Amino acid sequence: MRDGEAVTNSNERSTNLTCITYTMTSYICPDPSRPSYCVPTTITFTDCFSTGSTGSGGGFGGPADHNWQPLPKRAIIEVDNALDPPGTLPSVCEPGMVSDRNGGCVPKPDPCDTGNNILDSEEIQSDLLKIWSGSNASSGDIPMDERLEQGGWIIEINGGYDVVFFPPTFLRDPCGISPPSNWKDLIPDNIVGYVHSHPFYIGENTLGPCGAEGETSYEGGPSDPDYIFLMDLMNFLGNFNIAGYVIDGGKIYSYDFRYSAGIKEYNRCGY
Amino acid sequence: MWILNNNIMRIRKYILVAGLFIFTIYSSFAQSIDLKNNECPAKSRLAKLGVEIFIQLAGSKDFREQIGASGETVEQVQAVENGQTCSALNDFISNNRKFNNINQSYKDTDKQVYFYKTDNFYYVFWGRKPEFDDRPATGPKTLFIVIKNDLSQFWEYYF
Repeated sequence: MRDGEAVTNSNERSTNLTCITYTMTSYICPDPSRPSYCVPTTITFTDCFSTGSTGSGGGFGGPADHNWQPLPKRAIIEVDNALDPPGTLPSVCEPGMVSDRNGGCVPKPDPCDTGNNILDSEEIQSDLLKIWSGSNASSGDIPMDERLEQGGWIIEINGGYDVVFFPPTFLRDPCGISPPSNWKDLIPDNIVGYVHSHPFYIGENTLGPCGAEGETSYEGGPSDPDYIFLMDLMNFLGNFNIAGYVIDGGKIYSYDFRYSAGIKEYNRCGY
Repeated sequence: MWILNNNIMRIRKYILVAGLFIFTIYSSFAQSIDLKNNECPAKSRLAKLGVEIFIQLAGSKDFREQIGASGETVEQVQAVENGQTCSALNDFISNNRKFNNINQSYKDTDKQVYFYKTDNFYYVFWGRKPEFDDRPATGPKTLFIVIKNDLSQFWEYYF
């Protein structure tokens, strides 16, 4: 099966945790015009979630008041499945280093202290690290065509935030993430934003990986397609408080329904 | 002598028929070239949204003021559907090496060129084909060409 995934699972519920074991075969086709160039991946893993919480937390545009919340209905099968398969985490990293949550160790990044509730969340910073590791852009020496955009939905859960990573059916390349036609069915509940990487550093020439109309000098910030993605998401959900986030080699950008008027720039932190 | 004249007449007739045949083939070929050049690109919901965003983008305000496009409004945005205008815009692309290269590079891919307009400007850019209108994709900043509606001037903008 190409461009798709098969998921089998078995559920086990204890008092506070729901654990699910998955066997998933996915096919990643980086170039849709070359259907023979699809890489199959099989992953088996167990994931556990707490089944609810009380508390309050800040969302985009102000604090939210929420009592007990059910798990996001679709998050269950997607949280961490693309970028964080269990068993790949290194047991120990040297002092001053930290797990990149993708099987390696990287220098400990500066924590975020931006005043933005979402970015300052430790869980989100850990997720940003995963996204950046999965983007394979830890340095400008890595060939641009070996890098990938990565991303996911930002959800509000258990009084905090988490990223539900885009599943493998969202095709990635260095210059974009292309969702499947059923992408709207895959949006988790409690979504407050979406985040994705631009695996580039300011000034890089993206003509090679992004084609003839790419930027000769990468400028950073969200693009027209990124705004369009956010607008379509907001229109579908009828929720215009959803924010977009872009992370790249130098900065984090947040943006909203006001397009560039709503852009806020933060120094890279957390990844 | 009568036989000779008869043969000449027959040869003339063959030449005339062959000429007519060649003319018919040529004119239908020429017509098909014209039709292709007059062809307007398909419309796309997401492409139109992209133009609307450009017109509202605070980041493009200075640019729009500079080129005299600050009076263009979202309500004016529509696809170019006039064959003559499309022909002129197709020529505009073909006659510019950079734009032609981009256009050629998207042959047989999921992308295509789009022609949109407001009262005083045309907008030429490339994006995913309309069959992908149900699934917006993230992507890099790309080229957006703004052309005065008398085709006397154009500007490039990346966003």
